[in-house]
Amino acid sequence: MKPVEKICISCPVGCHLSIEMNHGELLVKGNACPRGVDYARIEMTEPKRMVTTTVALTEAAINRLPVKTDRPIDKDKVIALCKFLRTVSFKAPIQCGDVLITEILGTDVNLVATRSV
Amino acid sequence: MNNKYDVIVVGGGPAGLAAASEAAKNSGVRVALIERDAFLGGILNQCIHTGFGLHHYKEELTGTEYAHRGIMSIEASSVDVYLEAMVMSIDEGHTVTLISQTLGYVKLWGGAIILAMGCRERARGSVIIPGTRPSGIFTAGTAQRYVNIEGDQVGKRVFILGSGDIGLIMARRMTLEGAQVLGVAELMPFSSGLTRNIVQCLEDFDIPLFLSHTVVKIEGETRLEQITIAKVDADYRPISGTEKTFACDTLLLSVGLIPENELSRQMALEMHALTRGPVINNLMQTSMPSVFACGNVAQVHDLVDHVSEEAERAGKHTAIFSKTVVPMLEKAITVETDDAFGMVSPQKLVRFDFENQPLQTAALRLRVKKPYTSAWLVIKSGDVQLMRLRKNHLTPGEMVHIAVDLNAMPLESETIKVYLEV
Ligand SMILES: Cc1cc2nc3c(=O)[nH]c(=O)nc-3n(C[C@H](O)[C@H](O)[C@H](O)COP(=O)(O)OP(=O)(O)OC[C@H]3O[C@@H](n4cnc5c(N)ncnc54)[C@H](O)[C@@H]3O)c2cc1C
Ligand code: SF4
Repeated sequence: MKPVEKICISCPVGCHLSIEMNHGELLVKGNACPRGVDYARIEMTEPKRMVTTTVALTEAAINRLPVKTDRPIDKDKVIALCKFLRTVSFKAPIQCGDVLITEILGTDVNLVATRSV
Repeated sequence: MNNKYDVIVVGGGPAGLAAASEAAKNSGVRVALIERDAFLGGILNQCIHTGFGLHHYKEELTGTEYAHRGIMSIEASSVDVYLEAMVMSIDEGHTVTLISQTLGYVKLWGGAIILAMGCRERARGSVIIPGTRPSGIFTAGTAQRYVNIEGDQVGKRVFILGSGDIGLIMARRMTLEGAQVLGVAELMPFSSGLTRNIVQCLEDFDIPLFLSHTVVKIEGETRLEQITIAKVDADYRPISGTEKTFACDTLLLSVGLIPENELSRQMALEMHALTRGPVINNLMQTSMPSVFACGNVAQVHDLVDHVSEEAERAGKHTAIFSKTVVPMLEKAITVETDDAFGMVSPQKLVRFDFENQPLQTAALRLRVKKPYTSAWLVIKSGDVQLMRLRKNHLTPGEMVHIAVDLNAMPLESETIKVYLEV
């Protein structure tokens, strides 16, 4: 099988990976660190993405609270998640790192605040 | 109020935060941090995406989380923070004049000053596009602030000119906000953004990237209605017959950043043509001995981790500088580059710190003008080769870092030059 070219996006280095499946075994080249191999495996089977966005915020000096998923969520759920988050609102005070919603949209992913307000 | 400080830091972004807390770690060093905004954190407050901190904190953080850590360490330190305080001038390299919301007009004196004012976007005026002047045209950074901090809707059908990181990040951001991003046009035959941003901001959402294209026409009465893009030739001139039109209400311009150097120019610091910031040495010192610079004010960085690293270096050396009377005696080595590079920093190298301790290495950062899959970086002094390094995947969007062995620099040499050999 011809190797698949993918760019590892696990960190800003952006290594150019060459991924080969050899009798069910994954052969990764071009990765500068072991995370590249994990990225290749997940990207070839079930791609996931971290989501960062903002939610409505009241009783604070700013109008939006930045948030993130605490782990990557299935790539095909990203748009639905953002759509849902446009309907929620939170009240200050909130600490950076606070869990705002657990098991969002029936996944094992939680929503976390990324700024103190 | 005691207005006399050992170190005064201008700007409370990641550079200022790291420089101030590092300087304050030295006992007896009194530090002031001045920020014109109501919050510390600088540009990071609008960077809600991840990709920060992997080198500095060994974990991946969002911009706001990265800022939070810096702010926490300032709060735990002895640094005096002045918020909503704008520095108007710096005289004789020591006297800082600021206008504060609460304190009014204040003069502070600093044994050493660290410039950490960051950068700003090139103005809309610097891109000349024929056509009408409707509303709906924003710089990408302004749109980022509107969307991420103020929570304003910027537009529904968006086109982006410029494929630098801010443009790419905003393509994804607007998509997640429910807008339709029709495409990104880039004048150059390659993107200046990080490769990972092309993957996760454009390819993930099937947003087309038009390389070697530019916007040639803007139409709309009060609000933007339609834009036209065209392919450009090798001299960046639009090629007729290649036009494509897009109906859109918003055009984001991601046309690059320039260091914020009003104050540097006012002080008549020696400026560098490539970085457009002050000329600095590896101790982050400018041409005025008591004035230092770090972060985006010195050179536009792509990673905040590098900003913090050099800011800590600035903090450390300024703290020493403020406590010693010995001036720099040694003659600095000048760093030059050949045409392949669009930037080099620092531009001067010294071999000893302010306590006259020898330094072993110096971090040199360079930016290539166009991508190379593989090349040699060669440092020469005259005809003598001092260093030769192989580098793969060089792109304008990612700075090259090399550790220069200062012991290998010939003492009598006053200039070294970095060459790129393909
Ligand atoms: C859209 C975008 C995406 C980015 N993505 C990434 C990424 O994924 N990963 C990464 O590592 N880095 C990223 N960066 C880069 C990183 O954010 C910057 O390199 C970093 O913020 C620069 O820090 P700074 O302190 O030099 O400048 P800034 O953050 O700009 O801070 C400068 C501060 O100085 C203040 N100031 C200016 N003039 C004065 C004055 N006269 N008086 C008082 N205060 C003043 C300003 O208000 C500001 O708060 C990104 C940047 C942008 C814009
Ligand atoms: S392989 Fe490692 S170094 Fe390379 S992009 Fe992936 S995480 Fe970063």
